[in-house]
Amino acid sequence: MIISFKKLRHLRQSALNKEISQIYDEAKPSFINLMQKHFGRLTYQDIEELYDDAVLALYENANNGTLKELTCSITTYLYQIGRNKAIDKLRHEHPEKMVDIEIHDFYPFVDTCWNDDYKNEIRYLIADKVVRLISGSCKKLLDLFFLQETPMKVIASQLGYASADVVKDKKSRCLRKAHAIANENLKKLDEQRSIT
Amino acid sequence: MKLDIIDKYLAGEMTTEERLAFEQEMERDPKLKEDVHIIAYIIHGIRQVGLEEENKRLQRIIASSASDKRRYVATIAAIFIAGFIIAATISVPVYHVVVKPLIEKINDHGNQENNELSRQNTDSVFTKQEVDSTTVINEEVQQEETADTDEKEKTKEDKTKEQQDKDSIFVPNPNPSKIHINPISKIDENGTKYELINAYYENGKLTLILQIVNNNNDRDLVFDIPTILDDKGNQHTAISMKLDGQNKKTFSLNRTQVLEMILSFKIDYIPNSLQELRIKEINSWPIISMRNIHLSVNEN
Repeated sequence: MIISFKKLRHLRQSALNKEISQIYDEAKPSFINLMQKHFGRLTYQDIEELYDDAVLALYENANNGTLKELTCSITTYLYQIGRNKAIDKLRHEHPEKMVDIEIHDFYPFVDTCWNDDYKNEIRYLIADKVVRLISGSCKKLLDLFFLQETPMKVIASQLGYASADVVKDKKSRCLRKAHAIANENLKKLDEQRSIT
Repeated sequence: MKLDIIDKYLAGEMTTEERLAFEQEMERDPKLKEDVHIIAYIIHGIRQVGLEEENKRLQRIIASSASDKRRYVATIAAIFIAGFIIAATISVPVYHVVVKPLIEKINDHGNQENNELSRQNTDSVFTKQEVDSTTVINEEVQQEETADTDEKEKTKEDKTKEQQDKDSIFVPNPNPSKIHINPISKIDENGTKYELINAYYENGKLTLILQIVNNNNDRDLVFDIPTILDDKGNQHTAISMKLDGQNKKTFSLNRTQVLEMILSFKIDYIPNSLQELRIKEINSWPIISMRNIHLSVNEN
């Protein structure tokens, strides 16, 4: 049976699932970077193997109904699987050493800004509208950074920028632009409200 | 707008002191607070919209994995059906080209064996009766035969009995070799005419047919078993003797009677000629002797 395939390589070679094949190529650099950053004791081959297992797990979970809806990006999901597997592997190989895992909360204060007042609801709708207007290189960059939690350095190599600083500048410009559009819409709404 | 500082705050990269100071500044500056809120909503929106797209991808994976399963099952089914069709397609010519001839060959072989058995059976039926008669008729002749021959005859007799028990169907040899003979006749001192009228060879036995016309009005004739000398000088005693189709150990002839005498000799080849055919009438002398009988296979 397909699910019993031990290695994702077989799955990809057989070209059974194009979406998985695409994800495999997209998420790999970020995954490798994060794993190398947090699990320095693992070799590159180990991390590649963990990545194969993680993508296979994603496929199997989607296939057997365990994963029906994502609450984080696919890259984050793969990283979480890879991280758990890495911890198991290191504990198995070095039981005497405690595996110290840094759990970071990505942009924690984004979720602390909500209030149930009318204005926040308006902000929410406007921000949603603005975000859906973003396209092209800005969308790719912001998705990679805020959704996939891809490090700047990896984004730079993935999207062909000169360095992480260039990416950082580009991200600021994109956010600034989005903020300007949202602000303008909010002002218009405030003016309309004051007239009525 | 202090975007770098807002970004640092939202990313949780400030120290506790920096964060508290920034939050106090936000309370004092509503515009800054509004900017922080808008940026936070935009980042949240980026995540939400991105997550929607990610979930669409997941649904595509789920859908395609289901189609993978269907494709897998369909592939297996297709292979099975294709195999079945190929097997069915191949089996017809294979049956006609290989199996059927093989079966026919086996059947033919079986039929040949049956025919052989039947032939043996036929021979044996004839032989058994005649061997029995021979035994009674002339013990001297029997003693002349070698021990090997006796043994073979016994074995053959046993086989004959077995075959008779097993299969009583009489299958005559369809193609006995007809032998052309030169017309030869003899009249004995009593006026009885002996004429060799026919001969054929079948299953290692030479059969001669004599026609006897008895012109003797004084007495009946009683004959002993006839013998022949083949072209190599070997003597053969008749293993059976029939008179008008009936097996006889000896036979007698009524006056002025015309009878057909069939003599069968065990001889495993067709000789070119017979040096002599001897028919001895028990009560008279000399023996009736017919010489220089030429035999040739009649092609027709």
